Amino acid sequence: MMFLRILTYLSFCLVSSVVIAEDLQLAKLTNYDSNHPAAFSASKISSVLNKLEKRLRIYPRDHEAELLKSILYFKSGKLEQALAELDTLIKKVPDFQLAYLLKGDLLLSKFGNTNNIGQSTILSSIVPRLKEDKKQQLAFLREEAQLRIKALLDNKKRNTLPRQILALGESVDKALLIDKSANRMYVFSRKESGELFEEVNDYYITTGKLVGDKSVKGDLRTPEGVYFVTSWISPDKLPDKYGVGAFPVNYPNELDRRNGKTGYGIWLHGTDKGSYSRPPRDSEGCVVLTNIDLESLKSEIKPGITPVVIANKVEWIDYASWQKERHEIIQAVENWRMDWESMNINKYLSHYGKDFWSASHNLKSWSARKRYLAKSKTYQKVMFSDLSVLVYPKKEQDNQQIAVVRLQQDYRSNNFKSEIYKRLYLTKKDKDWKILYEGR
Amino acid sequence: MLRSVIWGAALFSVLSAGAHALPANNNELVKTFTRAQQLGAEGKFDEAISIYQGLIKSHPLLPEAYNNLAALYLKQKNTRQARFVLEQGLHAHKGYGVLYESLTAINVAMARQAYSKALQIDVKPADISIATLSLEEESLKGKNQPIVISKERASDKKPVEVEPAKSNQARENEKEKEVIAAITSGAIKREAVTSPLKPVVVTSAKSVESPETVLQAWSTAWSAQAVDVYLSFYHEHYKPVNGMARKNWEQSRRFRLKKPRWIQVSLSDFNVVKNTGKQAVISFKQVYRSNSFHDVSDKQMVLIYTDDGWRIYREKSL
Repeated sequence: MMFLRILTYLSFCLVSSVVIAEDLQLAKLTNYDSNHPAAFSASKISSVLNKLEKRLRIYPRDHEAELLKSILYFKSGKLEQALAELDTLIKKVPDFQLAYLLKGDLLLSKFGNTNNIGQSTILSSIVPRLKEDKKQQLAFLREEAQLRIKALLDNKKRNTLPRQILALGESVDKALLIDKSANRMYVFSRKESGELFEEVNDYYITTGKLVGDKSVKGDLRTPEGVYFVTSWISPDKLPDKYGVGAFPVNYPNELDRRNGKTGYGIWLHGTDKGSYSRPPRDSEGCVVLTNIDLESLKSEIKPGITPVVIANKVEWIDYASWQKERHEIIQAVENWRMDWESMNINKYLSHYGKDFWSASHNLKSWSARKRYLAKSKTYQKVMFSDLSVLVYPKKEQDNQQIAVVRLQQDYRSNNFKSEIYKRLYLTKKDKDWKILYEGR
Repeated sequence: MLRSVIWGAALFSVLSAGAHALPANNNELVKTFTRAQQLGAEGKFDEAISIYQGLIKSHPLLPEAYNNLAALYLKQKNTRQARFVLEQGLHAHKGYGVLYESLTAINVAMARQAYSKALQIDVKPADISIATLSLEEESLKGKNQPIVISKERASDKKPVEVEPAKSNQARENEKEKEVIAAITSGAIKREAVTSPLKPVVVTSAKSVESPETVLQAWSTAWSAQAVDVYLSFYHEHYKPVNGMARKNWEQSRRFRLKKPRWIQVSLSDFNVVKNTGKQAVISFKQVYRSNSFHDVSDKQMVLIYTDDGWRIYREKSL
């Protein structure tokens, strides 16, 4: 009875610490402090549990969902169920360090005060004399846990779409969107209609050791911008630390090089065996996924096609704003196409910004070349298809917006015919989108 | 909770099946128990396990059987089952300090392993084990009735009989009154209370959680050597009786609680001198035992009701 009493007493403290007024809150899920008034709603807990079950139905190897389920069980006073869930998880993923940490916490929850993950008062006495690097490791695991919980509770995305992805062409099934501040990668899938797309899954990721946009070689930062996967490197050609393989991306892209950015080898890759996941900020600039997650995505990522948009913070906007932005850019591209077809060379050239460049031209030489070519044309037909629109993350200091358009161009004229894929960088300073870069 | 309900039900059916299900005399029980111990010592775990399982069925209030069964499961590396058995034993009766200690030992050992995995520290993977117990004389008192053993009783040397059904009924009636009080007073929290015979779920308001209940929890935290929990029971303006500064007192409590290998504190004979709902004065008997010290004292405490419930304001030995 006495044991039961303290069990009851402690579990009451734990349960009451989950204040779910509006939504489950991060602080309340990672803090076992008993000084919170009870406003516990079992229905909230069960709705989040349902969300996790749904995630597991879509992606059975969503081990994060299993970990979070255990936390929720614990928070609703079901300690044994929480431990059983963790044991099953550990059996499946024997190198999931965070799962072990949580297991330790839960086992000690009856005997000591734990006000945060991995901060049990008993931990220090049973794992004495933790060296600095281990203390650091513990702090990293705690951070990883918080990021994973935060992602679960994040409701900002509800009824919103990312400003970074406005359109995906017919050949583009998937787009990857990375939020560095949330250590999260979202996977979007193109809908059959082509009009819209939907988020299919999201994953915990590791990014560069230092925060901020990459600018020079070796600065340990993950670049921010619109990129494309360029190839696949299988694990047998790589050192162990890359795990099950790597998808390099095209950093530095045309704009990066124009801006004098240096460095190379920004990859999406797996995790060294021995660890399920890595700390939130631990890479030299690469985006690191767990091996299990990367394996499951491998077949969906297509070199040369799949876009990877990396933002410090993804801009989630409502549907109406999203539609407006999408329309604006698609219309700008369409106006350019029509003016080009119309044979009015001045109108056509008015779509190019003064900072325009291409592989071998600036605006002046480009204009001269186009004016010269126009003289030989009696008719032109330009058709665009497979159009994707991706938008650079907005930065505080920027006075311009940048978008990347990838499209298939079918050009016919009296003396020339071509079918090519093009990449355009568009910029908007005041009210109109202008072409900043045009190339293949 | 579910488990305790199932367990309680199982227990109830065993008891109501009648005394004839039990061995005719203690000699037979001792013989069976000793046989299980021998088999366990010889490494015949499965046979020993099935004997202990049988003993638990026929003698649900025999702590040594739970403990030794758990010890065998540990030898088979089945920690989950070991913990399950200990929790069952603890649900069966409140006073099984020995089972609580075993469970603590297992959990701490498992937590150590889990933490070392989490932090990738190389620790020698030690086998988790708990001591096998011999049948205590106290366990055999009470003849053909279900046997109750507890550390409390071992310490105050007063044989405790199983409370007759009527008394259980009376206790449940009290619980019911609490429930009604809770419902009528609004703000409801959930609390599980299990009686040895029949677990009941009691819903009681935080405001009616009695000072005695809080003191029981306080003594349990003390027994668990959970210093922070123990200290959290004290009011922010608590003054140590010997004039010690709060900070020094906390330090000395921290030391005193952590130093012994084990502590077992039990409280009894509560006497509510005064209870205004905001302040309560309560006296009680406190039995303290540790591996090195044994003490019985009469205590009086002043508790103050705060936003977080009752907190200890003054504490003195009478």
